[in-house]
Amino acid sequence: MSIGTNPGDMARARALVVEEAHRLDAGLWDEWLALFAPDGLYWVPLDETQVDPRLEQSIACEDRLLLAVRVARMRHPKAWSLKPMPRTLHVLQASVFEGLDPTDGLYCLRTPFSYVEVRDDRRVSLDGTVRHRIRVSDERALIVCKRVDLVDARSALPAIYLPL
Amino acid sequence: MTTADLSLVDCPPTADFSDAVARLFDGEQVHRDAYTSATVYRLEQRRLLARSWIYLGHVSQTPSAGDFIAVTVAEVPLLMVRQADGGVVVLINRCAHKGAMMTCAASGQAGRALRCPYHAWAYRLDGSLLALPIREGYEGTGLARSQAARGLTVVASAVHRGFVFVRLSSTGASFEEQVPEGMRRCIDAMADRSPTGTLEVAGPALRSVIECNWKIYLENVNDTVHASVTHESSAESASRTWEALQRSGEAPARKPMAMEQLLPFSQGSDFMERMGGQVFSGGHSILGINASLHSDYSSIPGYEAAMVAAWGETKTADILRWSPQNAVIYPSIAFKSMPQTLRVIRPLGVNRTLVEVWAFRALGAPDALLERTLTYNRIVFSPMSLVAHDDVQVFESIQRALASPGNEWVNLQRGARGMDPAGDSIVGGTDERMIRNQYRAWAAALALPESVAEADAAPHGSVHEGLGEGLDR
Repeated sequence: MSIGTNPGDMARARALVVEEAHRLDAGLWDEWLALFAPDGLYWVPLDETQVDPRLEQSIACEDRLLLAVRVARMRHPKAWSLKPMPRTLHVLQASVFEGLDPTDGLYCLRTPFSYVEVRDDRRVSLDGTVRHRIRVSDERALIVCKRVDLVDARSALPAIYLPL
Repeated sequence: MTTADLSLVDCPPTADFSDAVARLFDGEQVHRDAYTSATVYRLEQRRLLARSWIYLGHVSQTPSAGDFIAVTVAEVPLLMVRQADGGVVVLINRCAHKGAMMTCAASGQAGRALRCPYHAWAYRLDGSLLALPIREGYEGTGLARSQAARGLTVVASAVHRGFVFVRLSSTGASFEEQVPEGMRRCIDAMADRSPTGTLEVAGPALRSVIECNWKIYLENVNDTVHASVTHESSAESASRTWEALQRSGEAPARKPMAMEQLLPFSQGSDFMERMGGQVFSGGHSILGINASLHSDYSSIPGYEAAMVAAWGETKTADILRWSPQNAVIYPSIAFKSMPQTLRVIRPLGVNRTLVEVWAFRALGAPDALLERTLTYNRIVFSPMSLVAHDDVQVFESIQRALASPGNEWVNLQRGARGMDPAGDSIVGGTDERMIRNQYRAWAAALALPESVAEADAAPHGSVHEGLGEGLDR
């Protein structure tokens, strides 16, 4: 373990990755949103080499405000494409600790995953690696950035109705 | 049997077949076979797509001599190659020797020659044959008279302000004849959003595959009335969330770009009607000649000053005032001048469509302009969009439902009082004339049989698949 990490905080960061996937799959949208820091970002780049969420084209790049819009829409009675609401499952591999960010002390975790989204007979299956940057303070872990690199990012993709 | 003969087998040029094709569009309704018949789809490949000037790519994707991109148009694999003299040449990505693709990469740098990975036949950047192995083996064989000796097949191409279009058919209308000045000026309006008059592709395209016929997607680009119905959940969720944030006192002073882009989706049919549209013969159109959902974007610090310095006050005002909802160069692209975004509609099959979404950087403009385009593309067009999901759901449901018995027609009568006149017109923004105009061009192209010269250069679908199949009615 690197210098500067704290076993309790490390355990909180690792637990957050698992809890986040659970809240998505359980449809606990508000509780999911609450896992993001006020300056949190949800980012799905088009290419693994991308470094700039702002000035490069991405599949998704949403701050707390846009994530809140997304959650509000998922509950909206006229969100036609979510009728019926798709069922999802995130299968996570054990997270690898990549280090503490030297500037802001964030816990950086890399987690390979598989995702399946099913609505009626339509099944979308995607795989990738998620990188969480997690702030732990006062024994509370929050997501500062969730970056999802899909293996298929550059492929022609079907609609992905719910958050990866 | 020659290739040209074979290509016509599954679209027999009989009177019955021609009658059936002519009945697919009656001026105000489209028959469901237009969307569901594999025969009609193959006919479109040859009679519409092969003859039309289809968007291939942008010159900024191949900045240096030897740079190439690979793009498939109407099932034909193409290479756009930057030449030593700065021009671009478009070649069919098929070795003249045995047909291997010269490259399977989406882009790359060929150096001074394209070399086939199968037997090392090599071609100059313009496609002409440069070298082949075991040259002595061809002595006395008459290779010079063969098709192989002619090198890679060159496809007709045209460039307007860096936008590259191709026409697969070896004969047909020129780019200027087929794409009217009014549409070329829409491309100019997009490029002129740059203080240097130059656009550059910003990164790879977002690519979505939708299980519907390509025409369903392209119609919707001109369908203003669906927005407030289909996208009600997106617009309302945005406004409720933004208002709650404002009430909390934590909202930023400046309305975020994403909100400027999402909130107008609630506009009703009065606004949409006032947007106005212009149709051009050939299926092209401009929606939003008076106003659009993009009209009220806030100004970007430093942008207007850079524009005025480059273009002067008067021209800058003209450029910035013009922000149509969608310009359509039929049948392959829909684009906007603000934000600088371009959608390419690439049919993959009768019930499968690829949509590429490109962002452009306006050189010399502040980064915030590009940021606005990227934000729009993600929110509105991406596979994870907050808006397009409800479109995709509708398009895919149409494709499934049209195959059902009963009503055979898609209705496009809104605003159709008598037959639409030919030629260019100004129309209301909710008039389905914007869509009928696409089918007028579509039907005219399908009614015109291929000449042998054309069939020779046109893409050939699977011959056996179509044998004996008539129109599905």
